[in-house]
Amino acid sequence: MDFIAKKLISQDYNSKIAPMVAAEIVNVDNQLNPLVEKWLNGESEDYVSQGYSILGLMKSRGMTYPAALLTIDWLIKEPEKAKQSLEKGIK
Amino acid sequence: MVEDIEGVESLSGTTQEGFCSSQLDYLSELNVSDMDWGELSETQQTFTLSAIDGRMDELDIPLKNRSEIAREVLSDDMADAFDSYFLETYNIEAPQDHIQIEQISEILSDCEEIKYENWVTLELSEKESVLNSLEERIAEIECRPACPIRLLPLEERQWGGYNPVTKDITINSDYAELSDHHTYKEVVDTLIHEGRHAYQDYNVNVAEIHPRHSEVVSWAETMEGGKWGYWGDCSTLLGQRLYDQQSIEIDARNFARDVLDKLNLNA
Repeated sequence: MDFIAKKLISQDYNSKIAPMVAAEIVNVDNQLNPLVEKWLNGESEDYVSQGYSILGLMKSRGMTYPAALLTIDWLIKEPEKAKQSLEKGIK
Repeated sequence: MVEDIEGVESLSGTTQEGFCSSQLDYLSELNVSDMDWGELSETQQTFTLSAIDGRMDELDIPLKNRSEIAREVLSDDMADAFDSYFLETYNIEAPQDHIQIEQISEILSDCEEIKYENWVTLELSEKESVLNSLEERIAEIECRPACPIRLLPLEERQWGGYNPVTKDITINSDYAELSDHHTYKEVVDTLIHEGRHAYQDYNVNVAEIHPRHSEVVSWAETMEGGKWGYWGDCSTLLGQRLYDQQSIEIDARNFARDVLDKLNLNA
């Protein structure tokens, strides 16, 4: 997890947020583990769930790759809640 | 009633713009710079704050205006101290949430312009005016300063936001202009939602008036400088779930929903 936190800090995450996000990344659904490995090695692979994709979230919502990956993870684990939140928008 | 106290008129009913220099000077006489304020003992500070409050009594300044006026005439540290002194002295506590919800829904219910059939006929500038007027009354219920509300074009899916630095609220004008009932409901919801963020900010960063301390603690954790070190729309960095499940977002969502449920805005 420290390695992931360091990778996040190198991508401009602050030192408070990085460990928290790293803890989330470590616990993503098994299907996403290969993508985490690739991301750690500098690659950004796409993945689709419930009509949303990692690259699509990055483009349309300005998410970083880790943020988009975690959002896809939520879509896998709690599809209805995640979709509702994404559709509702930001307030 | 205007009283003449050594040539100084009462401020009762006077807006900030209506201050005369003698009134401001009378209050500012007791002002102390931030540096000097820090040098005073606690006893001296309390004595000074009490004296300021006493002068506000003489000038007939309503209680609800005192913190705002203090912020105008006193240095920052002194104004902060006055806020705390004021709340402690007058035992200011916001109503319980269920009472706030009831009172806010009553305000909305009594407002003709916010009713759907009237709202859709208004120009954007008129809508902005209505929202500002409602925010004034909502802020009074929530015992916090009112925030200026601006209708501005924002990104798609961004309904609005509260800025804790500038203390204002922005609502997406693109959505405010639409006439469909669903969007109208969401705009009203956004007004309440962002006002609740202003309330959370006030409690965490200015003065704790919320009846439940544990809730204020949980809000503080998800604010700038808090445990998590971020605030606002952090979905771009943290992903949608962590944004969605911040305590401040859950609280604001639930509060707004409860107000609207009570109001029953169904077409």
